[in-house]
Amino acid sequence: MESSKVVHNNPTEPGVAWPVARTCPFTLPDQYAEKRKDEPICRAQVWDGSRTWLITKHEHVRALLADPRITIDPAKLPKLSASDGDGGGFRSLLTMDPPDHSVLRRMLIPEFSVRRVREMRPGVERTVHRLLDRILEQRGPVDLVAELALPMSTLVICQLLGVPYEDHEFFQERSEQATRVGGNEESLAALLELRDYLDRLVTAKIETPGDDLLCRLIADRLHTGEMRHAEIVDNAVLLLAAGHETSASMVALSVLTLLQHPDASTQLRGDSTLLPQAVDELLRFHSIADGLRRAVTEDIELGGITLRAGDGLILSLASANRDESAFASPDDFDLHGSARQHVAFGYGPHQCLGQNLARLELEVTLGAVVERIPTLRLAGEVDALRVKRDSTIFGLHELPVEW
Amino acid sequence: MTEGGYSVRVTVEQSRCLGAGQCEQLVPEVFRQDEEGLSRVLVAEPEPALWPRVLQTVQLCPVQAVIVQEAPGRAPQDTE
Repeated sequence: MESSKVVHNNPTEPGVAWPVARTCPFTLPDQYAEKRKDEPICRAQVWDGSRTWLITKHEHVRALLADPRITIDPAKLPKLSASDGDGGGFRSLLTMDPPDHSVLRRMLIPEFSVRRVREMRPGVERTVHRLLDRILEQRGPVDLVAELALPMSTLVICQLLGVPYEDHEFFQERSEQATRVGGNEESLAALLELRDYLDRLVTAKIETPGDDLLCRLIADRLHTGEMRHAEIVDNAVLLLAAGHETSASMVALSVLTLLQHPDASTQLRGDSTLLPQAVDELLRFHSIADGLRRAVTEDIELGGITLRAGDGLILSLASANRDESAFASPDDFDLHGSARQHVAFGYGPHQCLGQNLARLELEVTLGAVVERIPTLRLAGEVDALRVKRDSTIFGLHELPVEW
Repeated sequence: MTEGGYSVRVTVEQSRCLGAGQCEQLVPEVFRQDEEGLSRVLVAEPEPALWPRVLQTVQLCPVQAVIVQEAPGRAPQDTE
């Protein structure tokens, strides 16, 4: 733009080029704070040039995600690349609107209830301590992404779903490809490989029943006709991919943040009841899943702007979680800040199904790290850490530490 | 909660609930997810000390299923 004046709601204005890359583990792109201040609902420029809005304020993000006049139908979402298609015909929680979505989600929620997740705690604790035993046998430095964050989250989701852990390299690699921003031919190919893999696994489980989430879905939903084979497969892809990448990213970024705030680590070591609020603050601070995409199905008036039916929406959870009108000193990590109303897990009917499990994984892992390795420190400089710039799940490629 | 002579009750609208479990996470004394994962209210008129957290669940519930309202049939006696 040649003019420095902010032009509100001008249809000729190209808007913020989306996606915006994140380059720092702790700070967000400057555009978010600027837009929140001057033009909280602004035009976004996406690959296909469709009429799309970027939503940056906490209040607006919550209002829209809870609004029944928006859709998650992949065919209607803003496109981020030439190969960003209609989702390959996938039929999962993240492609369906209520009421169909509600029916499917209700089949899955018993597996992620507060009580069920509480029952998983001893298993998660064993997993974390075994990984820490192995780390402490070494002299260091070790990469905490490869040796703690990723194996922890992968072992937990494998055990829950009943996916063989020995296949982890295959599905970790495919998931990473499939969740690249905007996607490309390889992303779709990776997604289809994951689907083939889980299709074979579900078929094997139909023949040989066991005691895991997929087997329970087969027994309780497939055999009763409530779910189709393909729906179990597609949702298994979602649970497997979402289940290991997100928690792993959060663990690595959280450990890094605690290393930068030794006072917070000391407090957590002395009082483990602070862990739940620490986890919420870390979820808020990092907001690793940003830029949720939706589309408008009926005109919506919001913040003095008309979002028209057919418009695309990009809702920045990261910006919402740094909104000065919702959080005091939002750019600081504060163990005692009140972060509970963050939207790191989203909001509305699609709010993260696995959020209770994610909280548990983070509490157990971070609690064990501060307890067992009080002398933990970064091996190298923060500036040298490589962040996942092109992933829809923000994170670190590696986190070298010593003690 | 009794305020100015009328009582306030908390309910979960089952048709809206999608089992995020935020209410039970925050106030396990008042909310409990059943076998289906849907939240149910254990105590419709919890003790005063629990209300700040109960009211927070109204804000946190992602599908606005936690409802706080005056007990039906009992009108406020003196709203001033």
